[in-house]
Order: sequence, then structure tokens, then C-alpha cells
Amino acid sequence: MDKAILDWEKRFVNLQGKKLIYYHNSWPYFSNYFGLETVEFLEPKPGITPSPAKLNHIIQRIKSDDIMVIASESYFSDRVPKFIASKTGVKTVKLAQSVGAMEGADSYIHLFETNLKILSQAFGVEHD
Amino acid sequence: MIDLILWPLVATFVITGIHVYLGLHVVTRGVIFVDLALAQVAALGSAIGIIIGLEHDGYSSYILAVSFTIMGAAFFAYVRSSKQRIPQEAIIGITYVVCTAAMILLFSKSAEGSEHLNHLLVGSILFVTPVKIGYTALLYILIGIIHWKYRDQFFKTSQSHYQRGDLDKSTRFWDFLFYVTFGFVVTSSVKIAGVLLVFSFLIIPTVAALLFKESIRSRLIFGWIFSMVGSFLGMFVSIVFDVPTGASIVITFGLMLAISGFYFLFKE
Repeated sequence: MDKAILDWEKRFVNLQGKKLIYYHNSWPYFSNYFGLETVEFLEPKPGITPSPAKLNHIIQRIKSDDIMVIASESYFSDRVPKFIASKTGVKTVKLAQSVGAMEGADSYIHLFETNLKILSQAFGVEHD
Repeated sequence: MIDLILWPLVATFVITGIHVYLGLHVVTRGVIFVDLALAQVAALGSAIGIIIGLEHDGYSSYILAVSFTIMGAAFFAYVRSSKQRIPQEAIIGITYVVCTAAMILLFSKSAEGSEHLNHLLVGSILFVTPVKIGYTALLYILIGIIHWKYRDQFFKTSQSHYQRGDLDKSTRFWDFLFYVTFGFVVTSSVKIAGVLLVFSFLIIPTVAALLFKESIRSRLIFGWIFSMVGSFLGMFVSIVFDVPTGASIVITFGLMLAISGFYFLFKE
């Protein structure tokens, strides 16, 4: 695992400083470690849909801060992210929140590998 | 901001049109919770679809939900026509809890469970798309035309609802058709607005209309105005107080009914 971490740090260095929005607060340590900057959560209180003002705020924020990606848990319907994407052109991706949640994320190490690759592709940054 | 609530507001108007009308039937029949039961039957159909791997909002999942609804409609029509000593409302309640429990069992094995259950309840009227509103409006207009054309039969069936046992063939048929069309409407509306909001649109304006109006026509017009004003105020409240839209419309409807109730008592 330690070796894998060092490896990821090098390979996915380009993710550092990238801004994104999460559906829920499911990946705080992951984002922090790889230098991703979490700007907003769509549902700060899980299960309570955002108010119009909150939604408006998120849409304005995406436009003003040039945020490119909304990441949500693989099991969520992408209705809300797709709705915001239709207003802003932001990209929507699904990440694995646990082992086995998505194809390819069949072990703890592969879980990180899969999520890092999905994010790199969404941001359009190079990785080895 | 305005563009965010424009389509949801249009959606509430589309829902208002048919629900206030159907609410008159439902309240006349005294089957207040039938919409919850039918919505749950349909949701069980979608849940089975999701479990066997059908696309969530896809065509085949919709077909499955609709077939469940039609089975539910047939069942409720049958329950009424059979000679029995059990109130229909009891059967409706039982259908509701059994279908909900079945969904919990189905979803206990999948990660998507709580999300689906929650969405069913609260809905997300804020995220409705113009295309979806278009299709829904088309369906409701179609059903509205059927009900307008055969209004005498439908109202006769509803008004004779407390008469039980040996019903003639035509009453059974109109009863079944009523529940089928009703099931279609509820299934589509719940997908947009969630169970809480759909129930409110169906029952609250009608109950308010019963307080003040006598004829079907004036109750309908009163209900429509009540419902549109309530939707508009609810949206406004949701923006001003920064709270979720669906729930604030329900609360607004409730408050408006409470005020109507006080006014009615005061006037007496």
C-alpha cells in the first residue's frame, strides 16, 4: 500500500489544485491527500434536496470559478448533476465510494486507481 | 434564479390541472390514500426493474411500473365490487405497507436503496426538464379528454361508491377505468414531484373547495386557483427562506387550508 501511495503521488501529480464539486462528502481524505480542492457539496445534508438558492449559488460558482467536474457516488442517479451540467457545461462523473462499487474497483488499491483515473480524464490532465 | 423556478412552476400547474379534478373523485369516494397505495405499487414495479438491471428512467422500467399499476387498479376495482365486510380503505392501507416493505426488502441488498426510497417520497420538482413536462402534459390532456367525454359515467361511479356488493357490469368497468387512468397520472406525477407533494395536490385543494363550494364546476375552479396560488407562494417561500421546494409547497398548502378552515368557522 505504501508503495502504491508513492506511485500515485507521482503519477497523478497533475490533479493538484483542481477544483471540483461532490454530491456528498464521501471522499474528504482522498481529495485532501491528492490536493483536490472541494468547492461545494450538492447535498451538504444527505437526502435533503438543495433549495433553489443553493442551486443557484452552485451554478454561479461553477461559472465564476471555472469548475469543471461534479463527482458523485456511483449509486446515485445523475439527475441533479446532469441538470446542473445542462445549465453550465460542467462534466459529471461517478466515482466508486467503496470496493466493488464499480467495475475495476475490485480491491482497495484498484479503488484508488479507478477514481484517480476517472478524475484525471474528467479534468483532461495527463497521467502515467 | 427565475429560470430555475420557471419550469418547476409550469410543472406544478400541469399537475394541478388533473390532480384537483381527480381529487374530487377520490374525496367523493372516500379513498383518500389510494394514490399513495397505487404510487407504491408502481414504485414496487420500478424497484423490481432496478433489481433485475433495467435502466432507472428507461422505457422497459416504465412499462413494468405501468403494468403493476394496472394490476393494482384491477385489484382495487375488484375489492370494491366483491361482497365483503372489510372497508376498502383498510385494503388500501395494507397494500401500501406491504408494497413499501417489499421495496425495503428488495433494496436491502443494493447500495441504491435509500436514495430511491427517499426520492420517491420527496421527489425533486426543481430538476424537472421541459421535455418531461411536455410528455406529462400530453398524457394528462389525453386522460382529461377521456374523463371529460365520459364524465357522467365517471361521476356516477364515484357517487355510488358507498353502495357495495353486486355492482352491474358497467359500474365495474368504469371503476376499473377510473383506477387505471388515476394510476397513470399518479405514477407520472410521483416521478416528478414525489409522494408528499402529489398527495397534497390531490387532496388539499379539494378539501378547501368542499368548505366553500357546492357544485362540481365551482369546486373545480376553486381548487385550481387554490392550487396555483399555493404552488406560487410555496416556491416563493422556498426561495426567500432558502429551503427545499417540494416540502415548502406542502407546508404552504397546509397553512392555506388551515386559514380557510378558520375563516369557514368564523363565518358560520
